[in-house]
Amino acid sequence: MGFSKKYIANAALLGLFFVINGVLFVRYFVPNIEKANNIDQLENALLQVKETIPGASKVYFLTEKNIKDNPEIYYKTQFSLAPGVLIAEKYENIPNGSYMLQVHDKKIKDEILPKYPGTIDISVNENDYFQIVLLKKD
Amino acid sequence: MILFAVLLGIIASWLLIDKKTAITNAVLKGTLAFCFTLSILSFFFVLFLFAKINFLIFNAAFVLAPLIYIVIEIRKSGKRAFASIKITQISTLFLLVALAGLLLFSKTFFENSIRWGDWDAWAIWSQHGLFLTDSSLFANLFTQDIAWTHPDYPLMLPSLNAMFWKSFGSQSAFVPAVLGYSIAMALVLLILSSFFERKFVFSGLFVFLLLTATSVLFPFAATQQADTFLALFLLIPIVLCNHLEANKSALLVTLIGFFAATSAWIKNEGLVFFVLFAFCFSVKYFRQAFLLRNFFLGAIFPIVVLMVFKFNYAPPGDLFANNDYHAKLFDAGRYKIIRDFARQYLTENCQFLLYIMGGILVLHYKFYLSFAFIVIFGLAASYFFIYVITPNDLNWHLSTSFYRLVHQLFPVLLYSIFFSASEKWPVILSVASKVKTKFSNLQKRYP
Repeated sequence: MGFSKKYIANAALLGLFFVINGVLFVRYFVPNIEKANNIDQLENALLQVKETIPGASKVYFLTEKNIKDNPEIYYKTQFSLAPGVLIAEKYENIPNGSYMLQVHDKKIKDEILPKYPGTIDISVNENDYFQIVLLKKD
Repeated sequence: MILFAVLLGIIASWLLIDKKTAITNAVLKGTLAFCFTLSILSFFFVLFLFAKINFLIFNAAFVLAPLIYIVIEIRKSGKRAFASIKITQISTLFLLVALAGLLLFSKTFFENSIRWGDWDAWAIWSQHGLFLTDSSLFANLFTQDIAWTHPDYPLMLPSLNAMFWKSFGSQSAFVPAVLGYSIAMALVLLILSSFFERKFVFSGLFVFLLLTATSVLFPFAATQQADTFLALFLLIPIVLCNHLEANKSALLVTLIGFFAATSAWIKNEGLVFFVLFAFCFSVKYFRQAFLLRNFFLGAIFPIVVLMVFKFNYAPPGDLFANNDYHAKLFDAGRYKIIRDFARQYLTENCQFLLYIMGGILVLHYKFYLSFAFIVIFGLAASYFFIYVITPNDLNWHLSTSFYRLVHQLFPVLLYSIFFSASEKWPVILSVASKVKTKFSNLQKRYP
């Protein structure tokens, strides 16, 4: 039993569609999704922190700023640490013995991470984009 | 392994829909089967996670169950099992136009895609998915300690991301991106195939090309996965209702209930949609016990899973907690802010939709009394009142979410208008011809 002309034409069109769509996928989609952004840069800087802190622990995000005014770094750090929990909190409200994180975005040239008394430095990690300081409240 | 589960799930669901309903269009059945499979996998992934059942058992169950059904069906009906897939059903020219539209859509989608998507896509949906990948620490998500992550939001999209990540053993950014693409494709294909099912070929192609060959769905379709997902699930029950009159099978009605309820598993707005839809459906068919019984039968499972999540895991939402909503309800200034914002946004960004809505008012005003419009209008009205009582800064809330609500409602509204017009096309033609005659008489009288 042979195939009708319409069958062959429609099948050829469908085949062509899948080929062109595949080419578009590789040409446009793959580079966009593979292009690393600052979530990946932050995740990379946080690798050692993730190894140090047990997943079940809560970590405090030390900041003197209102998170709502500039939430991006906090959100992206939380994203990188999930399923760990990152709590934005002022230093004085953080319980003793807790792990604390300071994140410095190197794009912000004049930002200096404040020093706090009664803290133990656990580690300092950095890449070209971020500096991560892990502390513990004594 | 999970890809096999998805593929087998789609084939099994397709065979079930093919056997138990009178829907003839293979693409419409395929789109429904795809959405049904994703929904079932999402529900069971979360149930297995809550019950601490090993992920391997989940994988095995959802490979074996559809496989057994497919084998039984093929043994029963042999080659006839897939006999309704005929690529010669459509003319070559229409196929060419439809595929060209899809290619344009793909290209626009791919060009607009961003790694991890836009703000909500990564900060809420993908982040929730990352929690759900960890079978021992997933409950960390359900805390109010994490600022602004909305742990009370439903888990459809996070669970699907988590399911694929867990199966692949890697938390790749391709998972939410490809899932988002599949959902967007399902949305436009569902619209096209629904028109084709009723032989409304020209109007179907027109709406399809409007969505695929222009940028009306972008950039949100490529960057806000949850809103496109919800747009798809708001659309499905309306689409199925349009095919109900000719095809009152128990499965079709059950699917209407299932998909309407599943929209509540995607975003909290979906719960409002389900309540409205169920109410309107019950009023419309209140004398038809068969329809009501099957509708609520389909809705039970998604609603039970949602309740398990909401009452046992999710912390309370921020809408009513510590919110003086009584005072806000009687603050006229808030209504004015919302009205002004909506008017400005719609006149600047949605002129085309406003013209179409004006056009349908002239040509077929009864659309505004239709089931679909009442549900859509009710949903828009409830969005309005959520803004009135929002605990957040109103201007901030409007500027960060209004465009997404429009994106959720736009496809179902456009589809409903054109579908309704297609059903009444002979009437519209006669009205248009009368208007034209009156216009030419006036021109003759006052040259």
